[in-house]
Amino acid sequence: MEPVRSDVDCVARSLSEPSAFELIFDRHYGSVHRYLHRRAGRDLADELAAETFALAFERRTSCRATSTVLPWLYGIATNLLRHRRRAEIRQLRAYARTGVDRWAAYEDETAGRVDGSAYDRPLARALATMRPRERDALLLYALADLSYEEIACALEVPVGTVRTWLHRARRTAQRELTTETDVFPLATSGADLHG
Amino acid sequence: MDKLDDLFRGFRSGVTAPSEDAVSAARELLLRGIGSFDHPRPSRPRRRRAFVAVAAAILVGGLLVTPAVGIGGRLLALIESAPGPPDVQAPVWSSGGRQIAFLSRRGESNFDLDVVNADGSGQRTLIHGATREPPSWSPDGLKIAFESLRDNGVYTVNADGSGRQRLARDSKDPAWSPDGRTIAFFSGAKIYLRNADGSEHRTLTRPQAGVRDLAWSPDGRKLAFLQGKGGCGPSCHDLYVVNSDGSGLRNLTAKLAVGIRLGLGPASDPAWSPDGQMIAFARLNPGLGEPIYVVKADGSRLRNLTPKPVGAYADPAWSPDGRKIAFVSDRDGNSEVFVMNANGKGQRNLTRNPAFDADPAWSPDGRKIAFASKRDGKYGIYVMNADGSGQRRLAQHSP
Repeated sequence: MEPVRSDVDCVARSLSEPSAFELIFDRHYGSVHRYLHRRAGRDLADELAAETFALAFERRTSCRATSTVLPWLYGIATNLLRHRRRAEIRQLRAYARTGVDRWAAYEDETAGRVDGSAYDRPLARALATMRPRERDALLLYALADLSYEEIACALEVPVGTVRTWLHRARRTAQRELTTETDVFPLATSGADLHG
Repeated sequence: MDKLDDLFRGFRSGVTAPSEDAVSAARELLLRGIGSFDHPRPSRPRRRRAFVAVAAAILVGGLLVTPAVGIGGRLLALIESAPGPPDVQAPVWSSGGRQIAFLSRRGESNFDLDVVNADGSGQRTLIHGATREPPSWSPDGLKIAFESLRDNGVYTVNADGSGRQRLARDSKDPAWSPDGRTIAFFSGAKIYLRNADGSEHRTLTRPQAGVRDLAWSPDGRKLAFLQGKGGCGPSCHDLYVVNSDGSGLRNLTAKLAVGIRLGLGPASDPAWSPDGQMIAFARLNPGLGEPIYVVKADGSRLRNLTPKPVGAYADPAWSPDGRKIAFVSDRDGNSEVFVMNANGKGQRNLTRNPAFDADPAWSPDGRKIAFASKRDGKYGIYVMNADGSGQRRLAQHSP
């Protein structure tokens, strides 16, 4: 039995043996789909997750990862989402308005109503209100669990830009949450700039 | 802001795993894209193809008969044992017949774009870091369009190496139109047409999976290309033609699929006949080798030109007068350049050499054929007269 190959080994190998890329799919499809599902609902996730890997394969020569390729894949998925921004925002706004999430499929049928508790709707509205790149940076941080450097890589911007976007995203979110719930504590300035 | 971040971390955290249908559809899409590369052939010229893993191709064909979606371990092992890719490949004549552009390998998929005069003098490198996609000359012989590893873009460069310019990033397969005014290429799985002076561009088609190998008809009115075909295995394509205004998109090989089992292989690069009436390509049929087919541009008269002997054939290249087709075959035991009449008769081995020979390219006056060979122990670009005599080396790979 062959030893397990690292992500970058698979990608390197796939340059001359394209079928090696299927291993990348097996390893990471679930994570990419989940990220897309949480951002834009199941239907879009089904479509864009497929496109992400097809595109990643086509662009595999430009993969700069040094160990795991997941951040690179998240970057591709996020850029695909940019073209579906309107769909994503429509969902978020409707979710914020009604409290009913019709786009995601939940493990627990009722979870759509209780997931995230009282903050669901303001979170959705905050996300809808943010600028697209701020939303991308925040959700790559919160949902995809990327570091600032990895986000910078995925979105092809300097780390400083990522910090700025995250700062603004959090500020927008704070505003929405405070307005909506009257319970959320105001941030102390400067405390959010960490990574 | 930890608390805020935590809240977002919980956003829709209870979502389900992807459905089986979604996973298989995604895998199928990926495999179609993978299939458009199939064996580790580095060269995928617009009209000719390096004939690297010929033996593997036949074996692959045999293996693919057993129904299996996706590529299994045995197949992988076969692909791994195939001979390595050539270091020099894809000779392309300028339309005046005075220069030949070709690719010279530097790394696994990293090539130099070289040019040599037709008499073998003046070999020079124009560009480092090109991909294995053969270059496309402008009809006036002054520029070359090529694929760069740099931002996976499509670029042009002057024939003296100066003036490199990017046409588009994340694009592939540049093809200069016969009138020199337009460059076609793929970007985001769509065909783009861009004026050669950069003044404007337009999209010709909607995104399609697994597109490759763009080729203008000689009158510049149509484009042929390959597109992945779903449901028939990972290495499966159809030949499409579209008018240069985007109308009339048509699948020319839909008929071929009927009655052929799982495991259809790739069609080769479309090669237009000089009169624009026919297109030649090679097709992998499990158990039937890889014959060369021709079809009329309207989809009629689909014919197998090389039914016997069964073997692997590839790289069909029409002579400029349209009377003959050069091609590559392994039927004599190793990869050789052959020629036949355009009706499939009179097949003759031209190179007759135990070393690897492939990638035939007719000179514009039809008197010579350039090709890639490893006969001197190293890969080089060679030329011979159209009857196979006078074989000599023009350029060599220098690592």
